[in-house]
Amino acid sequence: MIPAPNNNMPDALVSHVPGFVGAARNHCDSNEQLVDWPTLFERQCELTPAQTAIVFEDESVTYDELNQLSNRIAHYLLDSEVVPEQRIGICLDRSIAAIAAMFGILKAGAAFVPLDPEFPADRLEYMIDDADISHVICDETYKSILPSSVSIVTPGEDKWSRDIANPDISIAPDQLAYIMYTSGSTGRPKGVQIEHRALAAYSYADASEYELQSTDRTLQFSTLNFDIAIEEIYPPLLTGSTVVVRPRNRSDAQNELSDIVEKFDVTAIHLATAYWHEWVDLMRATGARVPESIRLMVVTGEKVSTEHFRRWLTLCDHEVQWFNAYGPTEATVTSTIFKPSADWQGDNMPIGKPLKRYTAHILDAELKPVGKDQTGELFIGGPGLARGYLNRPDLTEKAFVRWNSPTGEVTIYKTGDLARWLPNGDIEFAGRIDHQIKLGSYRIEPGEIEAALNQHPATLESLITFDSIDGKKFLIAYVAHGDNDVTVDELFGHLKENLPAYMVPVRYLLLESFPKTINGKIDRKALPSPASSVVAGAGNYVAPRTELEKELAEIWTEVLNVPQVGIHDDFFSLGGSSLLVTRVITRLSSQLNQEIPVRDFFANPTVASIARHIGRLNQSDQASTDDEHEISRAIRATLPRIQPQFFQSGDASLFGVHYAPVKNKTSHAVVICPSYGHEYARAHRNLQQLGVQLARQGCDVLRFDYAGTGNSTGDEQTSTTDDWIGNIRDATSFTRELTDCERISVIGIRLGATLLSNCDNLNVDLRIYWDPVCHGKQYCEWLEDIHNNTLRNLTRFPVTRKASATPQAFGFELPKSRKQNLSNLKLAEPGFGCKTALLSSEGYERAEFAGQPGNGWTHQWHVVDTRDAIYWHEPTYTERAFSSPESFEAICCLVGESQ
Amino acid sequence: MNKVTLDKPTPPSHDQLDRPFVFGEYDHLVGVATLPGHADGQTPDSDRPAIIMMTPGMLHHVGPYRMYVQLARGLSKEGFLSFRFDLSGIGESLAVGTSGTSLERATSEAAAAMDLLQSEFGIEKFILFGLCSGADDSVHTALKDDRVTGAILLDACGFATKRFYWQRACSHYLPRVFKPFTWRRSLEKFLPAEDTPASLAIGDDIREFPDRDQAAKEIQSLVDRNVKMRFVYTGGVGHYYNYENQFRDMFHDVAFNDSVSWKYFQKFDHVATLCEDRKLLLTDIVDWTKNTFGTH
Repeated sequence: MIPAPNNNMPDALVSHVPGFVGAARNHCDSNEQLVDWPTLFERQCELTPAQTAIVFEDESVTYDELNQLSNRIAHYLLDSEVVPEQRIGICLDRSIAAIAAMFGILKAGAAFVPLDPEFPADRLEYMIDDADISHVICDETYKSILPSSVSIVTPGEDKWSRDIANPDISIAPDQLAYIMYTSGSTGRPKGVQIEHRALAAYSYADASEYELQSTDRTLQFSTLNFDIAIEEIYPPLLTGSTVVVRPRNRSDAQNELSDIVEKFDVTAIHLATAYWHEWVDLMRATGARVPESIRLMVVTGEKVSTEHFRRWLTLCDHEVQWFNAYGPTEATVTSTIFKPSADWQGDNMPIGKPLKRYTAHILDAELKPVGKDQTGELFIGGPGLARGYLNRPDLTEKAFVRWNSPTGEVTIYKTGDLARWLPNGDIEFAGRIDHQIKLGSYRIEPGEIEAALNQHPATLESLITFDSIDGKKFLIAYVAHGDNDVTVDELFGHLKENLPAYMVPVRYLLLESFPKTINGKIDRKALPSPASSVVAGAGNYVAPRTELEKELAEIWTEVLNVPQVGIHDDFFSLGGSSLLVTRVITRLSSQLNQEIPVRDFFANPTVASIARHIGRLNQSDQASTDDEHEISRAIRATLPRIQPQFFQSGDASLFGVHYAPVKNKTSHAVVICPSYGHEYARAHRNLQQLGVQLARQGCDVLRFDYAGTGNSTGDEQTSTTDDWIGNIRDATSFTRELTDCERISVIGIRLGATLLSNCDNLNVDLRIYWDPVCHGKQYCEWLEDIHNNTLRNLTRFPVTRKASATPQAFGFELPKSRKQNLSNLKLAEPGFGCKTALLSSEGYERAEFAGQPGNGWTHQWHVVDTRDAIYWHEPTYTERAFSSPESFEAICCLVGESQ
Repeated sequence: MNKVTLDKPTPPSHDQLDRPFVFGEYDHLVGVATLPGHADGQTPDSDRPAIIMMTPGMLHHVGPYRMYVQLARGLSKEGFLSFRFDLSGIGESLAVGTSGTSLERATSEAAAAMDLLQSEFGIEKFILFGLCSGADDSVHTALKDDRVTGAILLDACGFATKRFYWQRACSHYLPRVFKPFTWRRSLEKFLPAEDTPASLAIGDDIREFPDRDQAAKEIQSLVDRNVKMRFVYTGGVGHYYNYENQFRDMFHDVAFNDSVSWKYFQKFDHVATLCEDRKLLLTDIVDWTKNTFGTH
């Protein structure tokens, strides 16, 4: 029998730990001595060691296993001389390892800082710099986006310490636990510092209020970069219950969330309000019911639509505890909750009463409590308050104010939200004091977007606000540009380069100057209506042609809240998100009686393509030839110009294909050096696709064939590695002249990388060696092995074949002189004064690399490990073409960084 | 250090016989023409047919182990212009969402290649060369386009005959009975297959042969149009073709004349991996072309 931990929750928070470091500092005004979070978790592990703690896809771990893994990570960090409160970045997707990493960091006395891989590089760099992060625990996929200044650790069994015991260190309750970055009005995000006691106080209050039980299974749905993730992970794991991590791959089911809930018997869900609205609509549209397993539903982040709450009630066939939660990050996730009764009626959903140990105060401008029915500013107090903003004492002082309460002076957090007391003691939210915008799960300071807009040379002044239709908010950018010429697309592109996607407005109003009040401030009331705004990308508008396209465009227009949608406009470029995809699918189902999986929508992101897809699904595709042409032309417009040509290198004419960007051209060119022999053909398609992708990113790209290979002229048998090294040099010069680009990157794959490593005086900005061949001699021997095995093993030939008089290796002549020449080739030590990256795919024999002379070079390279399976040496795959999305992403990032 | 490198790239030499092209309605197709060796800047002889090479499966226009480039150079020496190109979505050519089945798309793109050569060099007659699915595409194109006067079809469609089964038992299964590793491989088929990583999955390029009667009808139609055809089969397709004159037996009801010939390379694999096999194969093709369409 597993005890119900919430029975003794109040006491559990009070420290019984010897050596506890005295009273909490800063904002903790309680006399209670609260314990650190790891202590609470370890207590729980002792109570329920064999209970399942986390389920992720087909994997699961018990409390004991999770604790041991966290301990191993903690010991690893302690062995790495991590000191108390040292900030460790985490750049991880949802997984068991990610949760263990967070716990390991806490157990080592350090503090974790979530780093969202979707953020632009300079924003991540700022956060890393601001938080003074020296180590980042990072998924392989995201390594390439992090600056080289940080030490990167990828989760892996072999990495962590073998020591599974709880670390014997003392963690003070007021020690820093994590830093969560939120939007900042000055143009830079600000780091909210949460201490252990705040995390512990919040976790216990949450578990207690929601009556979490050991039988609960809470869904971990959010990315780890929001504090909803804290809510989903920390309180449940103090109660012996199970956290179910959302699977990596998108479900094919029309209602993905219900599918996950049913598949994993989820009992508790915490959702951002906007997402919950979508889920309710989707269930309603598809005739689905609230899954039977759910007993707790917590909605948080934005104002709840009472209409959706009523819809929810009609969808429930069983009793579900439903809560509206409210809380700023500065007060650790949630501060107040409201649980409406079954017969609750009202126009505004209250935000309820404070959690246990939290306090709430509604004060006027002089910090005096307002009367009943009067509106004032909401302040939050209690042990859940943050320490303050990292490196921002000025902001901390403004937001965390000292206040004379009836019981003495305490610190309270100024939320910036307006509120009023209801007669029954509940709080009702009444809007914002400032212009801060809450968009989905994100809290956005308009000033941060304005600061980025103002950096554009054409901008004189800017102002960010929002428009709202049917409860859905959209950012609107007003830009005063005087006589400067600028287009909406230019501003949109500028912001996309500098801000996370969720902060980039899609709608713009360009004005010569702003109307001003008598005090010289922007007169907001005199600004033109958002309805006259222009959508980024509207210059390419193509009107719908068929009834289906018209209906689809109407749905998109309403869902995206844009004035118009052209049939070739990309849903995601118009501000669409996965959340809005759900809404479109709901509408398709209810309005058009057309059910399509989310995955199909992602594959067809324009009105034209989804209309064609639907037509084909219904076998009623009546697309005319003209339609087909238009769609093909639209697709072609997104692809680069191809220019195949020959250029001279020594005595040979080398064949090269130049991919020229059709738009967003940068001053960066990339040269791609292929491999040799059968690997040339194996990698051809993949390198071609890489070229196209880089060109779409704005780079000029040249792929070429060495002398005597591919389409190039030159003697196939006598061309030497020196000739080929010269070919790389000439291809680079040719690219420089052809494109007039200032910056050049060169990518070599396999033998191409080895040749590139031996190519000095290239004067390029970046070299990428992708799975380089380290020893020419071993490479030749391996080629001969494959060849000889093929002759004998009756898989390729109908009869066994004997080695012929023609020296050859798997399809190509390999005379003695060439073999000798190739055998002498070795991967050369880096040292050309430019950034050099080693890209290593799954199945690449890194051991071979490590065995190179000058062992230990890897410290000189920027190493990017990917999970792309290529398996160069695996006989089964010797001729198999491959795809390598992670490598592409890493290459695009590396090239992008060096622009 | 490299002894032949120049400081700056220079234009291609005058004896360059290869000329790259971008063509197709959306400028999305890429091909390389190899001019006749004697041309040296002169216009190729427009009375001689040009050879258009259709790509096999997902391989690009260089061909397996450079087979298409070597063939182009062999044909060039005999005075023939050839053109190797990539179908859309393969090799250098871009996918632009053109609809239709793969056979229809290949036919339309082969026609675009013929249009190009017609406008560039005034050539009006063409020989299609295709390996594997390229052979299927070639037959389909030849049926649709009268400009095609010849076809070289390597491992084209095939159908088992009675003798095929006897040969299969004697020359395939019997030799393997005494090979331990073939037993092991057979047993392995009953074990759970190892998962192939998604990144290495084989593309869905399974060939669909017409039924025998349809294939016979198609060949008869081309024979009647006096399209010269060379069918070449290798041991690489031993699962449907395994003796010298199987072609004759497969299409016993077709009224052949001297416009059709066939050849069987029993020991070769499907793509002529061994250099000596490839040399023999290419010699056969070049000789047949020369003998059928005349020397320069």
